[in-house]
Amino acid sequence: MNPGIRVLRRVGSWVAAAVALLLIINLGNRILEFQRDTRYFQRPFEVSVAMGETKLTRTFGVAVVSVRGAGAITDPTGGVPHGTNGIWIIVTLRATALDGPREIGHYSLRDARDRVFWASDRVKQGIHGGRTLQPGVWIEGEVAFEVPRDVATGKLTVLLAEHRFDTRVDSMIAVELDGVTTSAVDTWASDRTATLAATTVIE
Amino acid sequence: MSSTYGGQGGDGVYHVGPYGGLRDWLSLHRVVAGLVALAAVATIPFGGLNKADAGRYGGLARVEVGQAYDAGPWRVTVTGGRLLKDQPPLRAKKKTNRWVIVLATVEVTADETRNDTLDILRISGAEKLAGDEPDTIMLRSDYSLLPALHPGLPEQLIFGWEQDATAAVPASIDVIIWGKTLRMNSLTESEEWLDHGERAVLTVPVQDRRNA
Repeated sequence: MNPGIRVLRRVGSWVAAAVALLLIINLGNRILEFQRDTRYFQRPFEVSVAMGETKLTRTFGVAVVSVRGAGAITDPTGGVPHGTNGIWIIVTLRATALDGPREIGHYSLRDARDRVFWASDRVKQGIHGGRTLQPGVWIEGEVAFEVPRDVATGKLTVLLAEHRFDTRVDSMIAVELDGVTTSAVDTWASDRTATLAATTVIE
Repeated sequence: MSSTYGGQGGDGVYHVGPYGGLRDWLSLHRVVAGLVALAAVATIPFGGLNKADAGRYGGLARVEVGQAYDAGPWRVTVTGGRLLKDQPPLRAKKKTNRWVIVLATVEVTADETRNDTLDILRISGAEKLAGDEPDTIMLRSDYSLLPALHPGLPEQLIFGWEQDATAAVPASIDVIIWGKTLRMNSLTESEEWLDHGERAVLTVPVQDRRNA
């Protein structure tokens, strides 16, 4: 074969490969453009559960037992009452680990406006304060959230996941709270003597 | 032989070449005046001399004590400044240090609890501070340290900077409100609060209450 044609063929094959590569990259980008917000498509796998119902994720089991509120709360170990400009929402829950020692790292409340409130760091939380769950051992404790009073105008959901901050594609339990109404919040706000319950082993 | 383009030739006569007239016209004060004019013109793309008069914070919004300012994830209202001796609940790392205090109300306007309260304020105009970041931030209500702030719940905060006892007593300080912008992160391609930077400035009188 003519050496010139051989060189042209070789160059042509390189050019074709480069063009194919660029087309693939372009196609990948267009797929990403279709759904760019990774926060959305890496969102946690949320499983909705009713209050009182026990649900198992891959690594822990949990049930939200009850909810109450207060205008000020005191740590289980005592100290000064912590007031609030809003309302304290106190959730009682039971939890255990499934496959090994675990923590539930993420405790938050989501309101109807999609605002997310982390469990408070102003009080010494029992079950949320770094308590390690052991497999097969159920414990019960309270978690306190500080929220504005207007959260009571819509639904309020407890969110629980293993990792505190990075909840991407994580299992997440979502429990809609019953009984958090405007009138209930008004009543709770006058209670300034509430004390967070200590965490106990129940079975 | 004489120079073609001017200058004093061997014959002692000053020869005027093509640039001779310009050279005569250029004197020291004319050159200096020209350079000053050039420098003034050069400032025009950057806002001209009006901006320069406003000092280092000329590009920032000016707010007043007691005026709320939206700086992205938070709305900040600076309410006052104090100079305090080291006393509980403050706890200086160096016992002789005193405290420059800024009082402010902060409301998170983002849709999720934030724990980056250290990013909200900086001060200028006080000498010999321990650092740029506040050395302490606490709730005014119960002195909770470095509290996370929740959406829709305005909180009165105490921002404290340790100051060396030998520093001059500040009569006033500049408080700079820092902010962030919610935008797409080009690396993670998700919306995040980024571009942490100065947004607004105000001058706050400092009340000396070391003996109160």
